[in-house]
Amino acid sequence: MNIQKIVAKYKIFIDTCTWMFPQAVHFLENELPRALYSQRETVKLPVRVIDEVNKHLKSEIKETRYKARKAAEMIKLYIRGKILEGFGSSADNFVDQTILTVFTNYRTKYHLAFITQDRKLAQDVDNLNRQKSVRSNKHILVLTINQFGQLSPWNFNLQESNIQELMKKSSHKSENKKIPFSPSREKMKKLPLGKKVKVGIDHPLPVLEIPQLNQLISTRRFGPLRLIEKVGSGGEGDIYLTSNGQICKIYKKTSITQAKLEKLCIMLKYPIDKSGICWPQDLVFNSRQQFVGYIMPKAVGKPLQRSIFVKPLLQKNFPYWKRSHLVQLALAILEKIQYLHERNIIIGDLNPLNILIKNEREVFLVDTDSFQIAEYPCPVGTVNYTAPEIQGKKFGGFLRSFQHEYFAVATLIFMILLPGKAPFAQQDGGSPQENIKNGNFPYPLGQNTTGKAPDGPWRFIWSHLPFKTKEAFYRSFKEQERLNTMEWIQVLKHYEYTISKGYLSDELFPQGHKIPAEKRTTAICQEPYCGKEFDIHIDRKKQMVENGNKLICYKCQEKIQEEKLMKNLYGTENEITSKDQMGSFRSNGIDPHQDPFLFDPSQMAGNTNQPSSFLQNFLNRFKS
Amino acid sequence: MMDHFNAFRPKHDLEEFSLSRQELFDNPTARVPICLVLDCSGSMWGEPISELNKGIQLFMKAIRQDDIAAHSAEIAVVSFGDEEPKCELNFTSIGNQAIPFLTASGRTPMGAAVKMGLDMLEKRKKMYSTTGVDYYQPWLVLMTDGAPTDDITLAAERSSELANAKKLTVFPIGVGSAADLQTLAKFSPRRTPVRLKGLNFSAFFEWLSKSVIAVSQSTIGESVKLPEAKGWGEL
Repeated sequence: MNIQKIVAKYKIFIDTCTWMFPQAVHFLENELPRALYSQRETVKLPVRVIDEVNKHLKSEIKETRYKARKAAEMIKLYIRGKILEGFGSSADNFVDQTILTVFTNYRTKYHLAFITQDRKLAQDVDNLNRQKSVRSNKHILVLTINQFGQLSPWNFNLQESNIQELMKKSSHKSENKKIPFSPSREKMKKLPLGKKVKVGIDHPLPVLEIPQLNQLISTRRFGPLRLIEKVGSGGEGDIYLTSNGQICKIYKKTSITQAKLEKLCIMLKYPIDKSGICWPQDLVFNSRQQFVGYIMPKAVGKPLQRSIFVKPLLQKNFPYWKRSHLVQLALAILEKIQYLHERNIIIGDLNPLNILIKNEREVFLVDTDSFQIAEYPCPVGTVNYTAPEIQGKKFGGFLRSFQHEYFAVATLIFMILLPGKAPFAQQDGGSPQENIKNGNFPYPLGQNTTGKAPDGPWRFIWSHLPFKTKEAFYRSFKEQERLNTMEWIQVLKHYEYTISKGYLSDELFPQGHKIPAEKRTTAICQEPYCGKEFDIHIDRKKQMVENGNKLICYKCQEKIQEEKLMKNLYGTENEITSKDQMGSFRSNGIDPHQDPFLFDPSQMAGNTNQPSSFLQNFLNRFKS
Repeated sequence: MMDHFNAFRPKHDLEEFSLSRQELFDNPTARVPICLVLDCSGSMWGEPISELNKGIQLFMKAIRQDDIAAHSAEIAVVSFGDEEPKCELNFTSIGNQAIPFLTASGRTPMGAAVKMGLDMLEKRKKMYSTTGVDYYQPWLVLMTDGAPTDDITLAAERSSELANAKKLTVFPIGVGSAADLQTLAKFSPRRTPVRLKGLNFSAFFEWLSKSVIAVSQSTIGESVKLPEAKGWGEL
């Protein structure tokens, strides 16, 4: 929806629950203020909304207090920025009533827009459009912020059926519809941490038959279910869609072991009801009541490996994505991982095939039955995500530590930010396992450089990362001081912040090294037949001129390198590149792998943990 | 003079090379290079060569259909017939490759063909390594229905050395009763040659594609379990 057009045409009203809706923060901090400023418009705010927010500030529920605090903060900024007008008084009726009254009174005079998360109120306000007694050529627009943080119109018909379904499913849940931001927060139940692998339970259990497509299975919680569609198969068994819309994993005979059963029973004892974590919901039995699998919630999307980790696939699946989407995606995944870590659950086999991506905010962790639970290990793993100290070890034979897991977490974040690139892949490298074991993280930090960072877009992407992020990778990969999940969340929030402030490039694949604006100058490429002007770091230019080196643009550098490489590979028979030759080429003064000019804008921006927003930037400009 | 000449190779070569590098940039997945060195001598004429063509087709299709292997496996094909081996397909991403169509005629220059295959693998590895792309040690599939007509000593030594150093996996395959398994064994100190049952190339290539898929999704480094070799072996 074009917010500019809406702001230009309509008077905007926003109710309390929208102000307090976490997914609305981006909209309220960025899109809306931007539109208001450019149209010189304001949001109309009933004073009762402020009263309600103030009341929530004192709520006993931490989450509500937190949301109210955020709302209050934003409203204050709106007031300071003069893009909000209050009206009414504390003597008004409830907000709902006030809104209805105001809309009834003004709907013939102005086009009115109302942003709410409350379906009932939205419906009531929308009904005013159809009031026949008073004819009006003005229109009332009723909007909501959807779960992706986007402004969208209410769709009452669709919602109706959805709601009915939801009611059926969760009839026991709190009926208090006045507070749509349901405050109920489950009490955290931590699983015990295992000390030693439980042994002697790897023997297969006797199973007479494995249920097939279209056959019935039985469960305790959901009754008998039919396997209606095969949606996947793996080394351990097959995945089916069941007749109640859930997903069911049916193991192969060889995978049905005592260990599996015991682990699943523990997982069922500690139910996890968090969207995006496909936790076991119930055991599955065949017609002879023998254990054969488990039920889990449905996941949507494509595996990370098949949607993000190859550039053409990334561009095909998410053509509009920018760097900030990758950061958001990493944060969305980290949030799930943190949720598990808080409960002493180690994923173990964290890998890009077990994470499904619907979009940058909706992700699903699948294959949860392989997680490490108490003394039951995660028996599998992949090379890239395995810490050097446990490379080549048999995964079923020991319990992974959080330190091992943090290596996997760092690798995952790296491979999201540098889409698909393994952190230890490097020039003159070898197999993934060798590279990790050698432990030589090839990317530069400050003056530390191995000169072995891979060719292509990777060193450019690296150079555009904030210093804090680079340092975090460095500590995790080079100094074995691995960051924990919470620390990574902080690091990435800071990255998100620097991008949103415009300090760092939002480009997915930047075309050159990062050059801070005040250090940027231009040079003319001195390669024959080029002569193009290009951006260069002022210090580098100086250094190159002093050393009598040619100034060459990135494109020509790449071409020269390519020609050399080709000559080395195909030039003459037996002339296989020796390292010396490569070395002499590199010391040409143009080392594309060096990133000696560090600039971390965030260090200049003061405290970096604040949320970023267009609004704050805007106001900060006027501060001094 | 020679150097000067090389620096100004025809332009399309450089463009091709540049494209191939771009592919390595675009797809950072760890690679498994596989070189098929195939006997296309006169004795393969007729049904054998047409079955072989079917097998290659099946192999490449199977790999393309697997999301991971399609981005991980890279295939080259060297044929040996006539007087000299011929590069039928050079390494690049599988999505961009046309499936080669092999014809049979001439002699059996196996030694030269294996040398060519090893050179191509060497260059490809070098390419990965200078670009900074992870890779698994390459595979060489050697198929013949007869005996070499050239000297294989050097090529066999080189291939054995690499295999012994675990830098190469050799799959020696004999086709039909005339295939000289003893010669094949000289190339492969670690895996014993096997004789294809009849002209069942398809079964072999199906097995090979499954193995490639297993490696590209491999869990624990080099200790990948290849699927059981059923149906094509005659042990």
